[in-house]
Amino acid sequence: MEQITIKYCTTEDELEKIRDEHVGFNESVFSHIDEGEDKFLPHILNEVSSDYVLICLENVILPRNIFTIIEDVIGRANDQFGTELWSIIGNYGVESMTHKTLKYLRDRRSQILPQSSINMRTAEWIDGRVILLNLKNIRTKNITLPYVEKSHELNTALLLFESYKNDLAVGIDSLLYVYCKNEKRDNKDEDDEESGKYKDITNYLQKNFINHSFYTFSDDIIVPFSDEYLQRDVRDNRNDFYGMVKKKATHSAVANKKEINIIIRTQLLRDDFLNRLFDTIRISQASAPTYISLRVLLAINNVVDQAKGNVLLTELQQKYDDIQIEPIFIESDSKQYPRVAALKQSIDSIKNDDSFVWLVDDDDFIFPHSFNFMNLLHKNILFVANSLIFHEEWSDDKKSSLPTKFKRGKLFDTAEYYKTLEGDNNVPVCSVIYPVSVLQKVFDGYVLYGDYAEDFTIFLLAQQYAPVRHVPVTIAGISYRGTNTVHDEDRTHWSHSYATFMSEVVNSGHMNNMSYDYLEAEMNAEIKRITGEKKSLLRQLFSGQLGDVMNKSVPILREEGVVAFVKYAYLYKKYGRGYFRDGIESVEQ
Amino acid sequence: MRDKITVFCSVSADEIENVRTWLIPSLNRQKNINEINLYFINYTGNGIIWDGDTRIGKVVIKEISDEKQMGFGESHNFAFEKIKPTDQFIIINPDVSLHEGCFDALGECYDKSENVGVVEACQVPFEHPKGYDKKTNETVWASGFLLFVNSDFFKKVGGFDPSFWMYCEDVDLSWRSWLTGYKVLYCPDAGAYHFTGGHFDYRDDRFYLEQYWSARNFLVLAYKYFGQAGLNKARRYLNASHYPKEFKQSILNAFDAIDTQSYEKFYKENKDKISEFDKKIKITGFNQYH
Repeated sequence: MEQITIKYCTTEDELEKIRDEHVGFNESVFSHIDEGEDKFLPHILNEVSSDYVLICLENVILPRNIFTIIEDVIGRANDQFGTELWSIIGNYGVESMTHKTLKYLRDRRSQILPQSSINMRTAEWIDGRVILLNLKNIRTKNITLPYVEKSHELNTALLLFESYKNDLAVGIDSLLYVYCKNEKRDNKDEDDEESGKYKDITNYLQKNFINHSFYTFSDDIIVPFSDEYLQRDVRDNRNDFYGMVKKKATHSAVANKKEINIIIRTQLLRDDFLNRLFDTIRISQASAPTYISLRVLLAINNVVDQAKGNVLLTELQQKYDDIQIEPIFIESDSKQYPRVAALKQSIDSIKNDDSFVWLVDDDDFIFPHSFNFMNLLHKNILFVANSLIFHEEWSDDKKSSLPTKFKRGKLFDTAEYYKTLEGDNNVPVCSVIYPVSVLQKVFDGYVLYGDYAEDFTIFLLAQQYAPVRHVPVTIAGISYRGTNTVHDEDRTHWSHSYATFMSEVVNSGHMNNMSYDYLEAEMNAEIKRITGEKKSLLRQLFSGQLGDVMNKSVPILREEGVVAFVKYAYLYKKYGRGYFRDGIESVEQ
Repeated sequence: MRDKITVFCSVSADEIENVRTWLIPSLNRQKNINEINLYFINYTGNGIIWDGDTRIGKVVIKEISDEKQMGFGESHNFAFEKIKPTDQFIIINPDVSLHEGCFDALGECYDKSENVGVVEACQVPFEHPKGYDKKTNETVWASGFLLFVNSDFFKKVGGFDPSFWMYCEDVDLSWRSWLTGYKVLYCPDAGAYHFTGGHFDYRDDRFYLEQYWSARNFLVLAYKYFGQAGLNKARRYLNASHYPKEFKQSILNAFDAIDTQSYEKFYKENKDKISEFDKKIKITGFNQYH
C-alpha cells in the first residue's frame, strides 16, 4: 500500500457530516483543511508529507472502495505516463487533442451515468473537486504554484500548467468516479462576479506559453498574441503548451510490444498501387516507435492463378525485403464473396490474439507518422482516426508507383463516426484499427453474406464488442479515381450487398431495445410539459433529425430546462447502446 | 546516368532522425548513380549533429556546419561556397524519402533541355497545384523541397536571397532563373514522398514559422518584383486572408522592419524584363504564385 491521505476542504463540523455519510470508512483517513478553497491547494502542496493525497471539496461523496481505486489509478497512471512522470489524476477534465470534456463524476443535475474510460486520458484542463496528487513527483521536480489564484479551479489549472512545464503529465480517469451533492451551477450573479477571473492566469499563460487560446470547461481563455517565437534572432523561452500535452498523450511509458497486422486485399495488375502502399509502409516502419512490430498479410484474390500470384509476391518480397510480407491465397468459399473471405482467412491466420488489424485497401496508402499514435491502441477499444481523399489519375501503361495527377480532397473526419448508426458510412476502412479479438468475435458471430460495404458492416458490428476511441490524426490516404466501385453507374450489386449486410446488422440486435424505450419515455415526459413550436422541435429531434434541428433547438430546450433530455438524445445517437453499457460498468466498479 | 552527385541538406538535430531513417536509405536505392556526396548543414548553428558513419552504402556523408544560425537559403549558399560543386547539385529537405528513380529522372529532365536553372521533383502526396507544360516540362516556379540545380546558374545569380530567411526563397530563385535566361522545370517522374507537417499538425491555438515567414515573404516578393503597386495589392490580399488582425499586423510590422533598398534596386533594374515574363512571374492571390 502506498502512503496515501485523503484531505477535504471543509470545516470541522462539515467533516463530521462527511464522516457520517461515509459509513464504514475508517474515520482516521479523513482530515480537513479549513482555510477556504483558494488556500486549499497551496496548503496541500506545502504541508502534506505523504506520497499521494486525494483531495476533495466538501460536496464530494466517495465510493466505499476508494483506497482500492486509488491503488488502481496509481497503477494505471504509472503504466500510461511512467512512474516518475505524472502529477495529477482527476475525474473531470478536457481531453488533449480532441478538447472534449470528459466527466466521470455524477452530479444531481445531469442525472446521467458517466461513461467509463478504458484507458486513462491525458488532460489539458482539469477540475479540482476530486484529484489525486502524486506529491512525490511534484516534490522531486520542485513544483510550486507560481502565485495563488482566487479559486481552487484556477489553482488546479496552475498546477497542471506547471506540471507540463516540468515534464509531468496530468490525466483523467473514470476510476475516480464520485458523487457530488448540492452542486452550485449556472448562477448568473456568480458569473458576473467572476467576469475578471481569468485576468491573472492570462498574464501567467502569456508569460509561459506561445499559445494564444486555452480551452477550459466553458470559455476559451484568449491570450494576447505576441510573435517573438516566430522571429529570427529573438530568444523566446516559452513553450508550446498543446505541443507538450500532445507529446505526453502519445508517449508510451510502458513500451508494450504492439503487433500490427496490415491486411491488404489485392489481385493481379495492381502493382502500381501496391508499390505506393509498400513505399509508405516502408517509410512508416522505418520511423515507427520500437514497440511497434509490423507484418503485412497480402491476401490475394482467389480468381488469381496461384503461379501468377507467386510472381507478384516474390517481386514484392524482393523489392521490400525490409517488410515482413506473408501471403494469404484466398480459397473459394461458397458462402462469402472474396472481399469478406479474404478478411476472414487473414484474421484466422493471425496467431497473436492480442495483436491489432489495420485493413488497408491496396490503392490506399498510409501516413508515416501514424505509428507515433499507436500507443493509444488498446485490446478493448476500436481505434478510429481520420483519412484523406486524393483525387488521382493513373496511367494504364506505366509501371510506376506515382499517379500522373493527384490532388488532395476531402478529409474524412471520423469524429462523427456515430453517424454510421444512421446509415452513413463516414468511416473508411483504413481509418479503423481493430483488436484482432474483436474481429474474431465479429466473424464468429456473423456470416457476412454481402460483398461491398463489408467494412461499414464490420465497423458497426464491432461496436458491440468494444467502444470507439476517436484519435484526431490523419493516418491514411484514399485514392479516388472516378472509376472506383462506389462511383460505378450501375450500383445494383453494391446496393444488394449493402442491403444484405444491413439486414444482418439490424437483426443482430445492434440497437438495444431497452435504451430506445428508455429514451422514448423520457421524450414523452418532456413533450407533455412543452407546447407549441418547441414541442414540434422536440418531436423532430427525437425522430432522428439531429443535424440542423439539434442546432436550432438546443438553445430553446436549454431555456426550458430540458438539458437532460437533449443529452440523452445526443448521447444515444452518439454512443448508441455502447454508451449505456459503459455507464453501467462504471457504476459497478 | 551520373557517376556522382552532390547533395546539400540543411537540417537540425530534431530532424536528423528523419535523415537516418528515410532519406539515406532512399538515397542508397537510387538507380544509375554510383556515389552520392551528402553534405549536412546544421542551420541552427549549435554544433555537430551527425554522429553516424561517414559512408553508408554509396552515400558519403560529411557535415559542414557553421557556428551561426542560418536561414534555408543562407545555409545552401554557405554549402555552395564551401564545396563548390561543378555541373549540378541537389538541394533536399531532411524529411523526404525518394523513389528509386528520382535522381535519374531529374538528371534526364535536366539533360533533355538547354539552359536549365532548376528542376523540381514531384512532391508526393501533397503537390503544389501549379501545373506544368507537358511538352517542355516548364513550370512557373520550383519548390525547394527537392531541387536539381545548375551550378553555373546558381553562381551567376548569387544563390538564394538570404533576406528571406525561410519560405518563398525558392519562388524568388525560380523567378530570377527566368529573368536570367534559365528555365525552371518540373519532373513528374522524379517522385519523392514529403509528408509535410502543415497538412497534419497545424493547430489554431498558435502560429507556425511557415505561416509567419511565408506571409512576410509574400510581401517581399510583391515589392521586389512589382514595386509599390505590387506591395499595395499584396497588402490587400493579406487583409482579406483568414488570419486574425493581430497576426496580420505582426506581418506588416515585420515587413516594415526590413531594409528594402536592395528590393527597390532590383525592381528598378528588372521591371521591364519582369513584365515580359508576366505569364511566369505573377501573384494570383495570397501566397499564390501560379
